[in-house]
Amino acid sequence: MIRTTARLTFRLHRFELAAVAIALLVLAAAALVVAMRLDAFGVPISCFSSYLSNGPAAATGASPSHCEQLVRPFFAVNEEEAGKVMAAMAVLPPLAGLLLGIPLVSREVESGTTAIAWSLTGSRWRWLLPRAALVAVVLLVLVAIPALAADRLEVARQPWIVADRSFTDIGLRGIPVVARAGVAFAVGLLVGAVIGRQLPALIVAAVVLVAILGAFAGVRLSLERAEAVVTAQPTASSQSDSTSADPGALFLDTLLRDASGALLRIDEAAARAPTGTDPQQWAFDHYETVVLMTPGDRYPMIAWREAALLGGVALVLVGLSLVVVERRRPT
Amino acid sequence: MTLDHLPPAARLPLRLHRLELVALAAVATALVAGALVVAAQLDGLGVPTACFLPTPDPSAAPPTGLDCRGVNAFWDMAGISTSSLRPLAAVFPFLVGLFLGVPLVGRELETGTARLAWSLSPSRTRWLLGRLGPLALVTLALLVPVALSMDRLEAASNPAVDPWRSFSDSAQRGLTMIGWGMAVLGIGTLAGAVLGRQLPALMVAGLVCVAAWIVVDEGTTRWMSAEAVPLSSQSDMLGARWLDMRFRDLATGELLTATEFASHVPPEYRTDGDWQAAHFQSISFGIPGSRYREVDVVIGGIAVAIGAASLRAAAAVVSRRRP
Repeated sequence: MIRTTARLTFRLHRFELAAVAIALLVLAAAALVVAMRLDAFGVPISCFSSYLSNGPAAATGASPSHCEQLVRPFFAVNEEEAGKVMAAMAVLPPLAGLLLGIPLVSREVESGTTAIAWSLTGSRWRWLLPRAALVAVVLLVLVAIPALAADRLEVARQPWIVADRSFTDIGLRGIPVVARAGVAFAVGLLVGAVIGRQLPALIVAAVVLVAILGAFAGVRLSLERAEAVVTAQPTASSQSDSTSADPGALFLDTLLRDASGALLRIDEAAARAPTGTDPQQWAFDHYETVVLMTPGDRYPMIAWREAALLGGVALVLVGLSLVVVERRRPT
Repeated sequence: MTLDHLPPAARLPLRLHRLELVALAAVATALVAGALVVAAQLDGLGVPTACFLPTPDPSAAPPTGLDCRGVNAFWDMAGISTSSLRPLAAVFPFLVGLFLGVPLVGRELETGTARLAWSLSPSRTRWLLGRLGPLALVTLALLVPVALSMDRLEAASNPAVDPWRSFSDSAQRGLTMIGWGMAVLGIGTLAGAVLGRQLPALMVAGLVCVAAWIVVDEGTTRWMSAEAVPLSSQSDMLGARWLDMRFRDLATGELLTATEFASHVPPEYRTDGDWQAAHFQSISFGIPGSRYREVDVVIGGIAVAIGAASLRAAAAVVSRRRP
């Protein structure tokens, strides 16, 4: 029974599955190739720390010209090639989720085959769940490949940071990418089931997905602010040391601290400035500048929490899809 | 006015695509309204045009009597159009063409209605033209207001230069934008006719459109590079399409490309701007803004020709394929 359903499902969606698989595997291969190209430069970490703190002219790890010759092409490849791979990581996995989720129900409704399919099966849930589960598993496995490759690329593009303790490119690599694809799949499934036509469903699902991910970004920011730590603002002279202490931290805000230890936004502190002074300058002169940040070593926990929350959203959407399929007319 | 007021020949194709049309019309309305509102707000700031004209020394204070205090607010507001409206305007012709072109034949084939429709129509080509005509008109009706409103936004956000004499954001407005919408409509129709399934056709048509855009962009850039002229002053650069930087060796008078220039500079002077300025003169090459209309017509015409060729191929496929 399961084998028959699997064969039928893969046959019905073979073009989308093949296209998505090719696109995701090409993306993973691109990430690994770019990572190898970046590794091949063999830039010493000392060149990076000098470059990042003082600019290219002062890259003094070995001799200045040697560092500069290594660092410039490294950053050119990093920006031109790795940047494009990461941009594709933002678009392709959610698009893959939509393209596999939408036709599962809407194609059958649009072509009128649900009338007979739903009348032959004992339960519409039993008709939908195995199909959705099979396609979802294939999607998540396929998306996991470029997600892991992007993690590897992150190691190569910022060798001065431990990638699994860094918020850089969060959402573009690792488990959150897989979770986003899962949400996109569930959104596509639900919207396809409601609208029952593939192309209009694609338009609506894309809008709904952007809205859900936008709202989720707001929730994530609120959570991160609630859990953030306050540290002293690094001075210009200690910038490079501070950067190397926790370069993967997620910077959230710059605040000011008064003598009692209370934290103020810059505009709140500036409002206390006496007339006749530059309010912002006065605030910075009279209060201690601190930064609100999430330490980089919290990245794994936050990435998995994000994935779990998105996974919960996806499950709710799949549940709603089941309700819609149970109740809607088959045409 | 509802669809019932339209002649039957136009009513059916529009009714079949009503969901796509509603969604695309909503996007078009948002783009037109957004562009006109931002343009009106930019105009309302009342920053004198002279504040945007290039000066020999950009760090110098503005001339006496010229109030340029609103320039920062102007750029903040203009940034809204850059971050939100222009990216959407850039993809809008592709969305219109794909979402109207792909289902034109692809949906009929996928749902099996092509068999009956083609058996009732004396000619499949006439059937296709009957469906295509109203959709092509709707495509134009969606794209022309967006293209014109983006021209209006361009005029407001770059007050120093006439938008009809400027290559700035040229892909998101004018005939180029409209032409690409028609090209994608043709490519989408062809992909739908060949594959007979909507989502696969959408993916394939999307890839073909990107490839066609890259080829046309590369071809027109080469054509313009062959006709590029030196842009010797700041006013020459206004509205121009910058294409290349070349370097004149002040000792020999030889004109060097960027690669040749790099090989002429000794390694110890690669980061020494003063030494380079003393030995080489950098010269920008490009197409002056006065040729914008000509280039816009050429690119728009090429895109329309791609669309026409795709539709001709789609008609051939429709007349020969099994329903």
